[in-house]
Amino acid sequence: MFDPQTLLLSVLLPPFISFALNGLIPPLRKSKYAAALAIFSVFISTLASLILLIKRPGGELIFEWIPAKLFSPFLFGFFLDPFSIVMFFIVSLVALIVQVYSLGYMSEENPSGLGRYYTFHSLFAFSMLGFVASSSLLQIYIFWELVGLCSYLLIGFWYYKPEASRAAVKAFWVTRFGDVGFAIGMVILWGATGTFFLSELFVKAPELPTAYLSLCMLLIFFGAMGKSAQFPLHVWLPDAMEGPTPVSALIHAATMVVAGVYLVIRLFPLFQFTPEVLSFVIWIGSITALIGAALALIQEDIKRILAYSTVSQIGYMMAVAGAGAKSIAFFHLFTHAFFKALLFLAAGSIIHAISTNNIWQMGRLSKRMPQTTILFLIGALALSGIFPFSGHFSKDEILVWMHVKGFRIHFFILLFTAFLTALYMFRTFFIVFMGDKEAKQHPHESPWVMTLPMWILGLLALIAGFPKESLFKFLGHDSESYHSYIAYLPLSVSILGIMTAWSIYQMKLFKPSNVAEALSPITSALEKKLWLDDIYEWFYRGILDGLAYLCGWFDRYIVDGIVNATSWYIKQASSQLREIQTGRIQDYLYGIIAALLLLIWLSLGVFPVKDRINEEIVKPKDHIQAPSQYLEGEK
Amino acid sequence: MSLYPTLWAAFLMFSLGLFGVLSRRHLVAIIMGIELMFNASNLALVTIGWAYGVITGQIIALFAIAITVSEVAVGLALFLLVERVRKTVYADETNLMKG
Amino acid sequence: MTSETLPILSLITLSPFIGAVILLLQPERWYLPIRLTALSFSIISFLGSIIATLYYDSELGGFQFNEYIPIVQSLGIGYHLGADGISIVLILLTSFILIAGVFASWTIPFRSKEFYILLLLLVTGVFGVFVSLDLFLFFLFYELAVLPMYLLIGIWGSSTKIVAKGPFARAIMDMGLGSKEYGAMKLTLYLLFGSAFILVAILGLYSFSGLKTFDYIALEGVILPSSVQNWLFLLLYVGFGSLAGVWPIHTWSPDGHAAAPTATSMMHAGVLMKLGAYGIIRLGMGLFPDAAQTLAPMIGTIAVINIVYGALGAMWQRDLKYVVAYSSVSHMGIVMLGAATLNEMGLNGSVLQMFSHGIMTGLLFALVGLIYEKAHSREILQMGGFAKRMPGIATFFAIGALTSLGLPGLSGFVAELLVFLGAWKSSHSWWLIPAVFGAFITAVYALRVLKWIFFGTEKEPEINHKENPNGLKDAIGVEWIAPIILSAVLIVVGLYPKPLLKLMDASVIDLLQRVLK
Repeated sequence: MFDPQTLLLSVLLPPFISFALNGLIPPLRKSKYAAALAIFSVFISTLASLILLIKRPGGELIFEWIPAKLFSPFLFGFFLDPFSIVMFFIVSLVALIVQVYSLGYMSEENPSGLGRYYTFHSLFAFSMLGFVASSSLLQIYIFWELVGLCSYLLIGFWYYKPEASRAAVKAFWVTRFGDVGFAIGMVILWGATGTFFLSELFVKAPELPTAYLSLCMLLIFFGAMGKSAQFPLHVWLPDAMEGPTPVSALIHAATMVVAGVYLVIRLFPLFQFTPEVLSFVIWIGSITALIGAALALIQEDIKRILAYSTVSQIGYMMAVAGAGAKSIAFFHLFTHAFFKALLFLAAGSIIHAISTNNIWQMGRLSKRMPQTTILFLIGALALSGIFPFSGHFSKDEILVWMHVKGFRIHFFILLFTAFLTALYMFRTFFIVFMGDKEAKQHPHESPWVMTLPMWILGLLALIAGFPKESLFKFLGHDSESYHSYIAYLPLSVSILGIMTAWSIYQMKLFKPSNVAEALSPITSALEKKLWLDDIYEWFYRGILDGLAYLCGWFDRYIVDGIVNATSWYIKQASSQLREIQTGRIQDYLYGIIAALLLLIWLSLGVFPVKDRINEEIVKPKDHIQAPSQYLEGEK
Repeated sequence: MSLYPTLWAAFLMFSLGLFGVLSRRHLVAIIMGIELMFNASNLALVTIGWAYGVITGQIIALFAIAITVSEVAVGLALFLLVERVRKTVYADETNLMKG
Repeated sequence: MTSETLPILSLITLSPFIGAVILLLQPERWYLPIRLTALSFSIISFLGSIIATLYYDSELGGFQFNEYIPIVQSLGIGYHLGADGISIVLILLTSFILIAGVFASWTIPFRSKEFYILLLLLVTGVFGVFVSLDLFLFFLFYELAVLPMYLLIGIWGSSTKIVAKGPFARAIMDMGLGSKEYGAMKLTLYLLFGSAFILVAILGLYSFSGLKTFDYIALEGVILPSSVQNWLFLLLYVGFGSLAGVWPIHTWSPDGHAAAPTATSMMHAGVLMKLGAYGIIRLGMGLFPDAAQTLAPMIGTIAVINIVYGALGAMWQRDLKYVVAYSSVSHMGIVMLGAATLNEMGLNGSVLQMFSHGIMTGLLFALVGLIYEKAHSREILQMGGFAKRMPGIATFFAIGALTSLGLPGLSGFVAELLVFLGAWKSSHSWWLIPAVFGAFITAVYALRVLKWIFFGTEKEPEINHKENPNGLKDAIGVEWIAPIILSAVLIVVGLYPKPLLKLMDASVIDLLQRVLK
């Protein structure tokens, strides 16, 4: 019963079955059982992945997807390794928690809308789990796109809101733009190795020229940048907050956005042969971490703060993955999934209570919503990396690794980012939960169906850091114990950040606007989101639409214009020519007679004719020679 | 008996018929011209058949006469119809084909 | 064995024809019997093609289910039918589109009998082209497939108003751009222009080969001098290319598709454009292998232009039907690119793309027809928020749009992927880059159209209130059938393309080995 294949299938299949049933049977989808089915299916997945996590087997399922004779056929498969097992656990658990939470959060939705919501959720759970365990690069790409689709569908869940549908499309376009790179990289990698299967790729790819492999990996990483919202392709993630908050928690914080990191981890056996690409990855990661944190500092929308925070944290993961520590990146992914999902759910709880996203319209919520306050605080402490919350352990590991491996500049960037992280997080905390002014609405604590999932996440955010050693052992990472002043630096800067936030926003020691003025070039750049949105807007409106205009116009008025002009010319010419057609029968007869005379003249010997019987060339005159006696006269 | 006088006669008849067809405006006159041409060719057929000593020419002429009769019948019927619809019997006024 | 006892290909081909004859005998006022007759003869063809698919031995490959009856022996013309894997896939496509088309035109308002007769005649021609192994017969069926289009568009089509600009504005307006008569006439003239080239090529082959036969199998054995091959191949390329929407002789396709009634657009974009590509692959590559190899770079380059140019053209359009029509031009570029790669991946992808694009564009045109029926407008910018009123149509439209942008899990992805792989493996690897960017542009316009029409705040076309007092509604009853069938096919093939690919693989390799020797 507990053999690996069965367990693997019982992780993967239930969400798919739930999606298929809900998708294909409209009456079921519109009933209240849709949610039950989805939650039950993901519950089974969670159980199965828990068993997998305990038993830790290895295993593989392989089947042929595209047959070929002259090339090697494309194999697909699912396989179990430490990363996929832990990731199974994260994905299914967070999905389960979020889906239960959604019961409360989405309670005002009508049944058919709710059914649609849970159908998409099931599809997402299936695609994400499938992505995690894929054993072929092509299959990874397929699930990669499918989670992108789910993200698109769920961001645009409230499709009648123009901003939501706009954000959904933007998310799809930007990630798809990254996927152009992924697709090309994947294809040219296949072109050189002839296989998509990961285990074969890992054997064959190192033999490739480094430059070629670097190109492939750079292009593939481009896809990861899009999906994982790395600078400069991060612009879609803040907008994606237009979707329902549980969706943001699941897809845009805990699971889907880290797919890029997971891809880098998965393909690390290839990335490790391309040092240039890895240093590019580190740079992108560090810059993203810094920019994300800086942007989070000036946001007013609580969800956008969290979104930029996600961008920044994924930057951490990317940087350390680029620095060669895939296990540490994965560890941060692990802890981040819980505390960031917790933060989003807590934010959702607030939004559910007072129906606004603006932090300046909140305040003193700690009185009305004590549970949410505590949970948000746990999340914020974990995110800031305060001992003993989970974020501390992973962030510590990252910074220490960067320092030990000699990435000094990146180390300082990330250290500064840790300061900013604590600052923006507690800025939010003090404004929202402490503050002077009370929120106008009368907020109330959320129902248990929302708080219970949050408490579970809160517990996880608290303790997820402790199994560090056993996790590293499982992942095969030899953690070096390293004791020096470095180990205390991250914690100190985080505490410094919290103190700063406290002094500014709680004690009002000095005004934030003064600081903003002092740093005016930076703040104005941040307020413009570094002009990235403008650049993309220009690319879309100017370049793409311009080219489209050019092509469309050229096609209709030039290419087709020439066609039409030709037929118009012929029409005009024929209206001149039609004068010949007099309609008088005698005129036609003149033509006939002229032609007849011409034929007779021709037959009188202009052209020699081949005698069909005797196969010899004869002059026509010989032909029509009548027997001479009749021509002479009577006989 | 010589071949030529008869053939010359046929040629003359044909030319007369052709002239009639080309110059006459009245539909019946045109069909009379056509008839003349037909008979001219019949004459030529018979003559040449006789000259070569084969009977084919005469047979074809007989066929042609039979076909001519039906053709005239059809033609006259058409003219009647044209007269009824177009109210005219002149060829150059029935110019529906004019471009 | 079924293949020996039952003339399955004749059954598939002639069943619609018999249906058309029987329809002729029915009075116009028989509303339901007319539809049921058309449907039942389509179903016979459909079942026939399913049987052919199941009984086709894909391991063996080659032409199977052969039927041969001599017609004019002195000229070497015979009724020779046979199907290989490529033809079987396309027959399957045609029968799916046929069934969907019959349902999509269920509510046709007038002269439904004549409509169905012409539709069935057209399908006979299409089936005939796919199965005939005699060039004379091939051409005969080809013309049969092309000509009913004129009447179908001219009588049942729809017109729009377009104001022409540019240096040729006067000429364009004089010709009547936008009207259905213009569309019908343009389409027919273009295709006849093309078939003149094809006829010349066929007759050229007939005389150069010196075999005095039109039989495909016999002509396959003839190797002509390469200069002759090149010329004849070019003739075929221009001839079939005009039907396949090859740039720059594609401009009939947007106008024709936009003017055509729903089922006709489905049939035309879904199947008839494939006739062109099939002709190039079957006749061009099969009979002139050396020329195919010599001219592949040109075909591929033009195909890449098609992909990007078609996608950009679609992006510019604001008329729903024109958008779908231009996307067809772009996707046919992928088909031609796959053919030009001259390797197994690319050619498999090309044939699969024919199938996938046929079904997808059929679905999209069926939905556009439904939207037009409800909203009485095709102006994208006049619509908005339709998803609330017509959730079902929105869902199916999304499936169509996502297939068109190559989303994994739907058949378009598999085909495009194979073509991309083939393009990289071909002699001109750079084809890959514009092709992938074309797919990205497709994502931009497909999702944008989806968003404009179905999402956001609700908008209704102005004329709607007068003509359609009941307002916008979701599809009802029989209108569901076509979208359901077609999107099911898209999903099934997308999830598990192996059976379909297996079906064509051996034949594709046969063809390739002829070309590459």
